[in-house]
Amino acid sequence: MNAVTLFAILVLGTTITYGQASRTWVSGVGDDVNPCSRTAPCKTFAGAISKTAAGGEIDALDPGGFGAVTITKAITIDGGGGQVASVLVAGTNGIVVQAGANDVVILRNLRINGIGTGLNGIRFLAGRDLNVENVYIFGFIQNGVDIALNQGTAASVHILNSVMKNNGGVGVRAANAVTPPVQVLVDNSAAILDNIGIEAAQHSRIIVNRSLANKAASDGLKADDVATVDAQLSVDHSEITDNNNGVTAATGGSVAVADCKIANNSGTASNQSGGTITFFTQTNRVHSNGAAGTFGTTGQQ
Amino acid sequence: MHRISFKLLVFFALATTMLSAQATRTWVSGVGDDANPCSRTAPCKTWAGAISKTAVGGEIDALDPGGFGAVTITKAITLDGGGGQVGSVLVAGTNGIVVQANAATDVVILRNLRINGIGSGLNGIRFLAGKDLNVENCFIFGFTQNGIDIALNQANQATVHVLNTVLKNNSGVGIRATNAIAPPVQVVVDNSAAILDTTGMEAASHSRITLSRSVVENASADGVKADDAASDAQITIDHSDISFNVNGITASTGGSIAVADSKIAFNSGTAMNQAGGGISSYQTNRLHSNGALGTFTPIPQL
Repeated sequence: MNAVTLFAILVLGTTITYGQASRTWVSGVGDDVNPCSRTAPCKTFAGAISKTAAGGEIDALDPGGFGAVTITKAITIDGGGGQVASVLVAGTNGIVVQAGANDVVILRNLRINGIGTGLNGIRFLAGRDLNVENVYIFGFIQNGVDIALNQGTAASVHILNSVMKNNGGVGVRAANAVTPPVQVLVDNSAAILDNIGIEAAQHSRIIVNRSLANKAASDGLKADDVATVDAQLSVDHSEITDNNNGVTAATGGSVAVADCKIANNSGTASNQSGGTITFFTQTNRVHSNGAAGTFGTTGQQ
Repeated sequence: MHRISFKLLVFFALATTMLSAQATRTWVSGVGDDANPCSRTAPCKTWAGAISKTAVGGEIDALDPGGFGAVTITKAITLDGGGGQVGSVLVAGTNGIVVQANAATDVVILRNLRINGIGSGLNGIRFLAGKDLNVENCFIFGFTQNGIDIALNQANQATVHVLNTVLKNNSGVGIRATNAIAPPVQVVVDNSAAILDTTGMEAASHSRITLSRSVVENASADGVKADDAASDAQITIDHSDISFNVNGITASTGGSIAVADSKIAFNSGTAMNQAGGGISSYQTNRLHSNGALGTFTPIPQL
């Protein structure tokens, strides 16, 4: 190796290292050939992510459609909140998260639009934690948030202040193919006009708090895990209305319900269909459903 | 004599210029410059650059998105990131925002901020002295110590109000409250979330925390904890969700907790963990699927 080659390697190596910033920017009028800096922003999340250090953040500088992205490391994407920072996809997934076992991925202030042909709004395939906050996910043919893990390490998902609307599958669906069960919180959010609002499936725990499940064509809330009998859903301070069935526990699923309104569901309010539903005694308001259905009871403490 | 007067005149003129540089409102911008006067048309670049040009009781507002850097606050002031844009403080290896103001008089308001420790920052917000700290619509994450570290040592009454805020992925405590001496610092946490911290919320030496309409999830130790060698730490919880932690609620020696209308579920350890302190339940809580129920004293609603 001569001196020139060594020099070239060192210079190139330095350039590559400099290419990753802890904060990068995207803009509706940016360009992915840019360094994604504040004054020379990129155009897409996918273009910015390779220039963003692990644990860093991509922020939207102004309104724009920033395209689909696959995330394979710890990162934060922040759309800003007071502007349209959007991912609009036809025929594909919006945002796919396939990160490492210790990686925390934070998605905030985004619109994700499937325009009736997109597959899933957000797909969580691997990682430690996924945060979805102030996100509007709509028009997908499968699921709004599709948690479809296959990992033996702990995973959690926190969905705050978000809306899942008009998705052909489930608003939020949680599954891990193996133990331990994935832990999911849905707080101050709404699942509206989906086929199923919120579903705890294989190896999953979902807390639904201060939220709304409305106009599901099938079930507002559902727990089911035929294969491993390890799906539990617990709902408080919420409204489950105008669905076909309100709350359904199918085989392998159990649901606990407290301080909720379950009304105007055309089918069965509390639908034990192979699984178990437990009401915290005399804390729920149930009326004007096709049928009340059945449930067990337990006391508050 | 004439020459001396002229010098005096120049001195006063300069002093006046410096005073007039303190505006009641200043601006920062992602493309600003701290050499500017921080006006609407000539904004500054950082909080730290703007604060010396902002009058006591005034405000620094973000004109557009940007990373505006760490800052130490020593007077009454408002920092507003704007809300509909990324107004951020990203720090590696240091504290984000330190408040060390006048204990008797100063109110400090922080709104619409992201504070990112990217896995090496110390504390998101440190409150060392002041009358009141307001934290509203902030996202504080990735710190090695605490999200909000209230670490006072003052005899003046202090209060902290945390509204609509998320504390996430901090290796210490989401919100930790202490005053080294009496009176206890009074802390309100409303409509907020502490997620994936070691401890979600902790009332320690001389503190009172009111936690309402909030969620405390995935703490690797305790969701909510009270503990104080001086036996002066109390937490009251209403209408909240405390799930997926190791222990749900822990009252250690010198700490006491009252809890009502809350869900405590899926905690792998003990839901109601009286470890030397006391837990009172208004018998309106939903507990299930915890490793162990634990113990508590039932008390009636009125």
